[in-house]
Amino acid sequence: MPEYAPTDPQHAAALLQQAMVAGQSGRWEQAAAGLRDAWRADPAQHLAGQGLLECAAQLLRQGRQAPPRPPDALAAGAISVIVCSVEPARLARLRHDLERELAGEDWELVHIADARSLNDGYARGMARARGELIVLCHDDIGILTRRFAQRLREYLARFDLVGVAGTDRLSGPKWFWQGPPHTYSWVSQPHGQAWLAGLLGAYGPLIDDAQALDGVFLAAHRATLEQLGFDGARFDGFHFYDLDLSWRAHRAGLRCAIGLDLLIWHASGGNFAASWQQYAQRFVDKFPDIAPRQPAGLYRPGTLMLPDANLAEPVYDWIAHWLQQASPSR
Amino acid sequence: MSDQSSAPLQQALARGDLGTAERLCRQALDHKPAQARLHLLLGQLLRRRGAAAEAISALKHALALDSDDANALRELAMAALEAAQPAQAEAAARRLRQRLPNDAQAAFLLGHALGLLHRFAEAQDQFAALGQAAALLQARLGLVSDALARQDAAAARFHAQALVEAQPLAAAHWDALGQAAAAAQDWNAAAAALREATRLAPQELPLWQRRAAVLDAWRQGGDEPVAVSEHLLRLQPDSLDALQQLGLAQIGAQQTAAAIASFDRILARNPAHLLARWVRFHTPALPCFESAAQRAQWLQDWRDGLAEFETLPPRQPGLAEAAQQILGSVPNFALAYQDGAQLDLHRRHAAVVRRLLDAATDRAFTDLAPRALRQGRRRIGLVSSCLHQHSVTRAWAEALLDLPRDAFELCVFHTGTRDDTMVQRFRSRADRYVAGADSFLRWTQRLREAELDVLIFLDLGLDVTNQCLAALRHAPVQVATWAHPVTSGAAAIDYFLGAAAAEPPDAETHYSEILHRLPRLGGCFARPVQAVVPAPAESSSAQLLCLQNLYKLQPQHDALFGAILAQLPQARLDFLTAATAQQAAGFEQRLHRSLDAFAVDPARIRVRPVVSAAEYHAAIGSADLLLDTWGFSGGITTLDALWQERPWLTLPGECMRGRQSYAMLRQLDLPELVADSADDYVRRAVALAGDAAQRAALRSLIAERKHDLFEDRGVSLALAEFLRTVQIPAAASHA
Repeated sequence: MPEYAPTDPQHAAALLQQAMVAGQSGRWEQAAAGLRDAWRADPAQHLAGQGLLECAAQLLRQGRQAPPRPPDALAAGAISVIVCSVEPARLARLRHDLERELAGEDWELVHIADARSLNDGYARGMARARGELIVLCHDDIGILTRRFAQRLREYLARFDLVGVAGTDRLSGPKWFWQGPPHTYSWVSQPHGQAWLAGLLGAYGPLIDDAQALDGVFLAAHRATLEQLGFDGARFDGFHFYDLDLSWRAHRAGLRCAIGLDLLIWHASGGNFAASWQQYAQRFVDKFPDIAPRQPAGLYRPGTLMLPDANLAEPVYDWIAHWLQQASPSR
Repeated sequence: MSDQSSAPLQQALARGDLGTAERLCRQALDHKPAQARLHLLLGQLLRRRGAAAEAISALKHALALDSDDANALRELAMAALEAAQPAQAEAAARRLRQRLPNDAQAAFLLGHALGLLHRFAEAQDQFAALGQAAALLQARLGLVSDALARQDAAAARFHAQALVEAQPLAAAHWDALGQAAAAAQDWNAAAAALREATRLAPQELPLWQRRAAVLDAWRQGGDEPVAVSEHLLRLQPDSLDALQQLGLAQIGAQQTAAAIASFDRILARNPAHLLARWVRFHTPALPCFESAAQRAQWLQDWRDGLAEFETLPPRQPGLAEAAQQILGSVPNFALAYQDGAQLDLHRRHAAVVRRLLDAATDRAFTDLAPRALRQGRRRIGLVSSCLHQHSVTRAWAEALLDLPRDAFELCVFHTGTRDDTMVQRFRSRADRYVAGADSFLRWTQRLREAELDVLIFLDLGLDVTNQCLAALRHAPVQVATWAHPVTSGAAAIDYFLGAAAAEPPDAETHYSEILHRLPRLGGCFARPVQAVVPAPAESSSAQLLCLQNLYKLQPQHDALFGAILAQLPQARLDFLTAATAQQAAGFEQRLHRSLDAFAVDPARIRVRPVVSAAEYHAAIGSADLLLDTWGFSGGITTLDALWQERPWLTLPGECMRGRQSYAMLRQLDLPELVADSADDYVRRAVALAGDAAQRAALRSLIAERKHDLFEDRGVSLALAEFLRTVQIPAAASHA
């Protein structure tokens, strides 16, 4: 978990002002550092997150790339990507991305076409999968990082369960219930022929000690998933399998993390019909200590339009570069 | 029926006289209450006449007397399923399974009950034991129908998925899956399943009809509904319904000229076809019209068309059904783009919608009776079909999401079907959030159940469902907003939230509602999303750009564009029309006539249809000067251009919708960019386009001041204050 800075909106406002002055004179890196610190001092200061993305865009317009990060140790083993999908076009699109990103790797795609629930589908997928490293993901995603295999193996070398969006403090039946500063996502979404890059959370690119993860993309060791199992009896639909799995992992003392720079886009077709509420109640019944004591926190992600998917990684490289640095102590 | 049954009872059974049989059975039981078989018989008879609950009681008696009776267990399981008591059914079926381990029906009943209990894995174990015989699959298809009738989408989906798995080449199974997914409002999955079903059985009309219905409910528009409707028409070439469906799909795909042609074909065969008449007068074939004369004629046709509906006899045969179709067809959209406030026409239109609503529902819904607003924390309802990333939320989301929780309970009624991070933010803030492609009736029920104090219709005029909902009073106070900047005309809407800086002095006369002016621009605009686009290339000739959609580009604009280009021989003018290629071509053709009159080479203009967001941002970045439309000016597009520090020239119009750019430029204190007449507009455009230094100076000023346009928390506070203090208006105050 990051060492969260104490909240100080007044200090944040001053930092924000300084950052805007820096930006107006084209000192984008200095502006970004100020925006980062402002955001940390006041997690509700959403303009800072927006500004960080804009600083990255400005630097890219100047042809400047973020400094590279040193490589880390890699987890070994074959990769099995398990996807429940009833739509061939979506699956083909995802397969295309996986083939590009996992070329040369020992990997397989396990397609479950008739899942009665995601827990059911993933459990059956596990039974068919031969990999040691398991990815469970939706079919309406695409991969934006060109270091997908490297990041996946790096994170699974250090953690048991990894997601791309989530929280390090779960306080209700949604992963983002707690609100800033504890909610994290760099997931983008399609926007016509472009992508809207998202930025939620003033730390990164790796958040350890995660408590709950969004199921849009989860990666784990086989042994982890076998240990946890899937609660298909209680979560027999398409909701809450992810919170259930990740919260149980956290409570079991497993190492959970949010790997924000496992960059993906997600064409969210979220379905929050009546069934969502029903499963939310089941979740709270199962984990009464997660019954919300306050309303869901408000959040406002920064956004940046990317006309080309290849721009995502350079943008987020800058974001990662800035956010992985500690703020100066006061 | 041997010793315990009398001959009359047997005879009654033999001749199918179940009423007599039941009576005689009860009489027999009076004499022999310990006869298990009589209780069983009574249970069977009660089941056959649909009295499942009574049957259960009789069958329990039978089992109390003979706990091993397989027939009683079977009957009890079936009766419990019929009585929607799946736990009881499971218990009986499980006992039957134990009693008769090889009995297929017992396994089927147990699987059925477990499915209804959503214990799908256990249920599947039961069905798996039965194999995949055709009869079983057929029976299981019946379970999908049964679950759908019970409104249990999850159980229906469970069975349908299993059927698809067992026989993936059976169109009926994909059809079942499509229906189950549709019942869960999982439109993507429903459309995918029905796509597969129609691929497997392209001649099956009902499959195509269901696919069309799913696409209609999903409301994504685009080419697929048109293609499906065209196929439906090929399957039933004489069907007016199919032609009507095609016309509506074409409107959803912005194929307006084709839609008009479709509805004209309907009217050629049935001139009294009400839906066709309604759509015909609402929809211009070309949103910007081919000429001023055509535009004037369209408005006259609009008046005449409305008048026809005003005089329809309320009891006209077939009106109820036609009214339902009409109300689901097109909103009152294009009228907002005509000159002037048109208050009378908006009022009359809203009154007709209300009359049609009464006809469609046989007056099942009336206005909410007067009720006082809550003391303390008020309950605010928000109806919108555009809560996703959209210009509506660009303008309104932040102020609404900022409403303090301690003062307001926020109930969001999202009548759209899209979902993205903006929708997620509304879900997160809302104390209650409901979404889905439901009927007007269902939405009405939800609004009434919510017992709201104030109901905000965020974007009236954009959506048919919202248009219908606004025809009725669901809350003591009802409000429309400038997200669609034109009066609702509806008697049930009390207030209109306008923008102080954009409303003209006589604005009150433009609204049927009481006008409440929110300060300044009337919105807490989020800063525009920046795009990663390359820096624009330098050019020696001025690049002019107009970002307005075709509805705003009325024929009177052409002469001004021609005059500007005639005086700027090096300049080029691009239009980003957000239209289909066909519509854009229609506009270009019209524009060429004007350019001819000014001897301007048509190659100097470029009319572009829908472009990507990145192209849109890049085009703004490359523009030297942006030209506004008048009558209905830019709004969000103006903000986008000013954010990129581009000079924007405007000519304020008569109504608020024509004065949004003007309000922004005034707020930035840039009078150089505000013309006071058409001639002045041309003069300023020519001067600015020809003066790079002045443009650079303006850009510097815009860069300095542009932040004042965004994140105006004062508007959020003013909205909260309005919602905290608003009262029911006096009856006559906005009549």
